[in-house]
Amino acid sequence: MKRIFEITLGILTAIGAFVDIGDFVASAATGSRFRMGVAWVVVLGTITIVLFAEMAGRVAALSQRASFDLVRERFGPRLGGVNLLASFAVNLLTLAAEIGGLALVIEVLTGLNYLFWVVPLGVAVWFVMWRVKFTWMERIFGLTGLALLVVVFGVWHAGADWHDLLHSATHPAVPSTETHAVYWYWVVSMFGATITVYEPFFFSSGAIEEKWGRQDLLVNRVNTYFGFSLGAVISLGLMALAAIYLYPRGISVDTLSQASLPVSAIVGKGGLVLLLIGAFAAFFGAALETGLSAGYIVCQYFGWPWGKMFKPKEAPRFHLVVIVTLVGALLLVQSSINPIKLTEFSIVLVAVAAPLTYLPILLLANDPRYVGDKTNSRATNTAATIVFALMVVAAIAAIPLLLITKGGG
Amino acid sequence: MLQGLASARTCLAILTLISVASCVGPARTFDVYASRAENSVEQAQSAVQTTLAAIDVAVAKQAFAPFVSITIQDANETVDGAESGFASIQPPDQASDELRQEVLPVLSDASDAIALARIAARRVDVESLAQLRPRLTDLSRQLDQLVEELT
Repeated sequence: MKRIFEITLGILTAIGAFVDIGDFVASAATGSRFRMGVAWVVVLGTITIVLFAEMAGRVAALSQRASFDLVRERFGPRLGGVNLLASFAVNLLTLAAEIGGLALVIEVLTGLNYLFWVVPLGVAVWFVMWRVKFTWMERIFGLTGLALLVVVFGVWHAGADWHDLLHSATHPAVPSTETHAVYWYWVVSMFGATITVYEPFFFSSGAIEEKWGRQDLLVNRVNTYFGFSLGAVISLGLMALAAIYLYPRGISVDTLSQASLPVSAIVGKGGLVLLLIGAFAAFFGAALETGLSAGYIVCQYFGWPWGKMFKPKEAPRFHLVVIVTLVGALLLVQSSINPIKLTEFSIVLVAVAAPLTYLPILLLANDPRYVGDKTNSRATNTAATIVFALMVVAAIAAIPLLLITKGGG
Repeated sequence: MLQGLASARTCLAILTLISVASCVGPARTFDVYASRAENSVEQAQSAVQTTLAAIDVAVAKQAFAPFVSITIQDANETVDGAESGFASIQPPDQASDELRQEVLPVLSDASDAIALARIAARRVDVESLAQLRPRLTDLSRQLDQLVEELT
């Protein structure tokens, strides 16, 4: 039973980080524009995040220190500082996007403008981070997020032509109404949405909070393999529903309500309720992860006490960083920037910043001083090097594509 | 210190480029103008189809009222943005003037029809929503024809 509950860390990370607002929007948007033509990116991104999150968890479990703590020690304050700045900036944008996404979910449930909900939601996120125990946080939001599996039911219920969907996934084509630049912009966005940079940091810090050790390496592996794969299934389900219902109608997803329309039309009111509950839990989980990650990375870099396990008076700077980051994110959303546009920008910036945050994890996982005899296998290193090279290409292409396509066309 | 300033300048430049990327620039040739028209028509088509789908789920009682209302409100904002964005572009030549006269009335009609749907959805008036369906279907056909002409 204990082991089952331990798996929830993986599920929370997967549901809350994999299927966050960025993934929700990118999956539905790409499905509505390219059918399953971007599905291969979800697979590639999942392999990437599985590889690197497993490494981050392994490093944490064996060294008893989280990734950012080691980044500074191993790479020095300057490179560590650049890494910190990039990760923090992307983290802040992502947190703002998640809170915006939460507010949009409440908006479609109540009909009241999303801006009305931003501050109360910010307070709720802070309260949960402050008062709710880490394990309960995982269980509540991770497991409630499983309601998102309704999209998989939706694909089955729609009587989808599986052969056609598979053909679309294995033979990606750019429709006549789209340009190749727009297609590649969405490829990079989808990749950014899948490999969000805070995931490995949250995962490794969470492992320390849960007091993982060598005996938990199996749990680490199961969490990453099972949790992120589950997230990928949901992501592909969202894409498939958009491909089935929105693409033939010429509906291009720009809003959360459009992304939810297929479930409403195919599964009905109950399905829509499940989708929105699942989305709320997933976005809330992601907001918790990004908010906590902000505190984790800053405190780990400066060597301050960190973690939810400490009370505010024991780790005041950790709790202060979390609050200040949260307030910054709230101000960003409250400034009435469109949360979906913010999300789209944030996932592109994730693609830009990813190599900077992923490279140290790859190096640390190969350093016997931190992982002893559990360094990466040759197969892991080969796979990680290939996906890292692709990550670098995506990072270089991201901003030019953003400019050429004017933010996705 | 200097390095920090350089990083800040780089960040500012990237943010400015990102902001500029979202703006509507001038159209200097007919081809560019036609491409902008195509984008606007596609956005309007997406909004009209979204409204039609929202009406369908409302009539079939497959969604709750606030969801339908917000979906159509979002579609209304999209079509308004497409219409005002296209209207703000200066047509560069005679052919562009003619294209403008062909496209703008359809965008305007789409905007009006979706606004009516938004009002009906806000009042949870499913009957009025259903009555708007034929008009929106006809608009969708006109937008389809425009896309075909422009592609």
